[in-house]
Amino acid sequence: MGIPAHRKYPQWAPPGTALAGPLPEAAPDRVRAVESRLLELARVSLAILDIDAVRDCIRPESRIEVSSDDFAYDTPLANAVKRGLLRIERLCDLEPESAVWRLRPDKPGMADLVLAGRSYTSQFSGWGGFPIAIPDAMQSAFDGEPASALSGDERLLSVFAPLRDSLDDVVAVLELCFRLRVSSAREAGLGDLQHGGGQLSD
Amino acid sequence: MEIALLSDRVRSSPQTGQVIARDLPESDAAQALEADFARHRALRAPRGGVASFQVLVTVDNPSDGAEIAIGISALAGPTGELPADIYYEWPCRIGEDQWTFEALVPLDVYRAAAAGVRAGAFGLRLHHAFWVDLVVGREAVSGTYAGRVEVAGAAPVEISIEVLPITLPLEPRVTVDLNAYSEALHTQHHPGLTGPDQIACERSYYREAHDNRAVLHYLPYDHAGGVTAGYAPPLTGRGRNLRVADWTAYDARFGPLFDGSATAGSPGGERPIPHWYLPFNYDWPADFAHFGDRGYDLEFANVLAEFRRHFQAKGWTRTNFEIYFNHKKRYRYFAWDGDERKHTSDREHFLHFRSLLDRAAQLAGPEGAEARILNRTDISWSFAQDVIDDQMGPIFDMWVVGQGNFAWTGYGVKAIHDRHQLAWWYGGVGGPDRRTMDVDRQVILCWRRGADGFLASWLNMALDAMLDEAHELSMLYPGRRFGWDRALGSIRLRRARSGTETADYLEMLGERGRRLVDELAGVGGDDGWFVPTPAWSFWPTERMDNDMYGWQQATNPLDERDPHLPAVIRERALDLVLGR
Repeated sequence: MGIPAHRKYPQWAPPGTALAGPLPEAAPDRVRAVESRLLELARVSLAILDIDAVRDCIRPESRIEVSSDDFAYDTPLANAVKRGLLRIERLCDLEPESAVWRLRPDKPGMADLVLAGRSYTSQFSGWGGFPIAIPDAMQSAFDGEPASALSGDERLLSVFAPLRDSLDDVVAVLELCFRLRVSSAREAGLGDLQHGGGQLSD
Repeated sequence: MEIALLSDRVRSSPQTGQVIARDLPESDAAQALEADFARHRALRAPRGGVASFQVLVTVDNPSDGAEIAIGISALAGPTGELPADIYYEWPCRIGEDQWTFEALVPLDVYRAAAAGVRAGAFGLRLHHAFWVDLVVGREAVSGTYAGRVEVAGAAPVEISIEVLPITLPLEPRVTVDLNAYSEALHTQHHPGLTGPDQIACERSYYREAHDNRAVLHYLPYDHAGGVTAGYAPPLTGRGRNLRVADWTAYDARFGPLFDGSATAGSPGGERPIPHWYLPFNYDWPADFAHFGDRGYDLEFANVLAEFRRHFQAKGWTRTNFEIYFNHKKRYRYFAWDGDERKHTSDREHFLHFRSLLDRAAQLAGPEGAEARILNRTDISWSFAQDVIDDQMGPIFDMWVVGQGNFAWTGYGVKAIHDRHQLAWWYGGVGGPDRRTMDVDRQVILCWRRGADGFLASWLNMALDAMLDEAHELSMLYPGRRFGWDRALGSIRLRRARSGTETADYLEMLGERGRRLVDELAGVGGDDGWFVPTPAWSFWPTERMDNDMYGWQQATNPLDERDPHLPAVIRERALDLVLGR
């Protein structure tokens, strides 16, 4: 007996999309290919991430505005999500940055970072960069449909995918972000800053 | 042209050529010290010490000062001469329309800089200041050395220094720690350097700190756990097979700091760097994708055991290699606050990682037993509780505590020392806009409270703009604008050095030193240096908030006194040590 259709994962990328392999060199074919690859990775992520853990990993009292000292996770759940994000990034040769976002119940129209993978997703988060006004593509994912966003300078491509929990509610959005072209700082081999965005952090 | 000599205890103004008001001595004893220096221009220093003074030069027409031909004649003494190092003091704005001097640029570097750079934000000026260090070697013969300050166009000024028949301890009793963070040195202060140039630049920061008996303490990973390039050896394998692939580059880069050879000829003494952050964090060397599983624990312990064995084999057994978790939940990378834990549930992970440190020591065996691996915690919210907690107290080897918490937890330092652990606090010596001897004040306070060291600030490597604008995060400055990819020192860093010397004199005096400080500070014994522990310190930490916490609360009985009180303490202590 096959898997019932309602239990299958959604197919977001064109069938046959691979997670690794050569990409077209020239835009826009390259952008489309990266988008497909990230969408396919997002689909695979649904099997890796414990989405109920994503939903619950921030303690209830920290889901609204709280001092940074008081922000708290449910540790085992957050660790499960973190492990999942790190593993997702390794599945694809693009090695995208990953993060999960949630809606802020106390701030309509705003999304907050739940957890980041090995680094922040460069297009929409950074030091002091959350919560954020929900980008259209992210909103689409919160509404149930995956979508992508290309940065204005066409250097960064983010794919947003809805994360549905065991109740079939969209409880968070997965972002996978790939750097299509390096920034001038990276071209110079300077790497990231600890004190990013002009802000100092201890 | 006019010249005048100033002590190293004050700053002057490039606008007026006068000592800035907040640095003027108030008490009779302090005024007498300054008057004595003005009259006799006589300094004194122990072997292994440095004596400093300043030369103020007022020129006839505004200039950048490069034309001033200043020199110190050989300071001849009983068996030789003492060297003198001269620095140009760089103007720094400390208020709306108020300037002083702070960064110290080696004179030859300053003169070689472009004219536009030398004019700086202040512009051409009538009043210039030069800082002079007279370095007394550890083998110098005691006695009086005399020479002259010579400035072309002005009459020479006699100067003398008495080299005292005592020697500073090689390792200061109080550690002044210059905390800094991953990557900034190579990305913000001196971007674009590679290879040997980068290493030489990096080394200069360690050296400048060491020359002034302070410690540059460079956290080598970011909040995500990414390690600064080169600050960890490359790894290979995974799980039970994870190991260091190659120590070559790591050893070449840092070995001279660990064996002390990088400090050869330093006024701070030739010795290994005393404190060092290791790259170990939640995601290095163990793969956090496996946290909670056996493989994660074994990866962490095995690689740490390898570090232990390697350090011992190399003879690097005098540096305190710290394992410290700086991660914070607020940045959304990990689920714990390794730094400044507030939530009770975070205690558990500290116990787990301590078990990994212990496991590593066991795996390393006798071949790694001599390496100093310290489990460091930076802790404030829960300090009053954890420091005497049977479970938490023993697991840390080094406690770095908010200054307020330290002040209201008088029993803490005793508990720490009873367990042979180290007690530091987060300082906050302030910027160039504070009284010049506020740095000394912190060092003396640290000594009097029995602490082992303190962080001058949480970040001490200034950005270029801080050369011109006073900022507290600025003990070391980048020399790049002067065409010199090296660290620049500062007047406050010189004061840090002086403060550690004072603490060493007081330590030589022991109980008499404590009584001396109490007497001059008007404090009645040990209890006067601490304040009562607030009842809420024992509440569940989750119920605490910043309002009750008073994050930066300082209780320094030395603060309300004469700006020159540290100098009075220093001179009295020195007299007692010398039996005068």
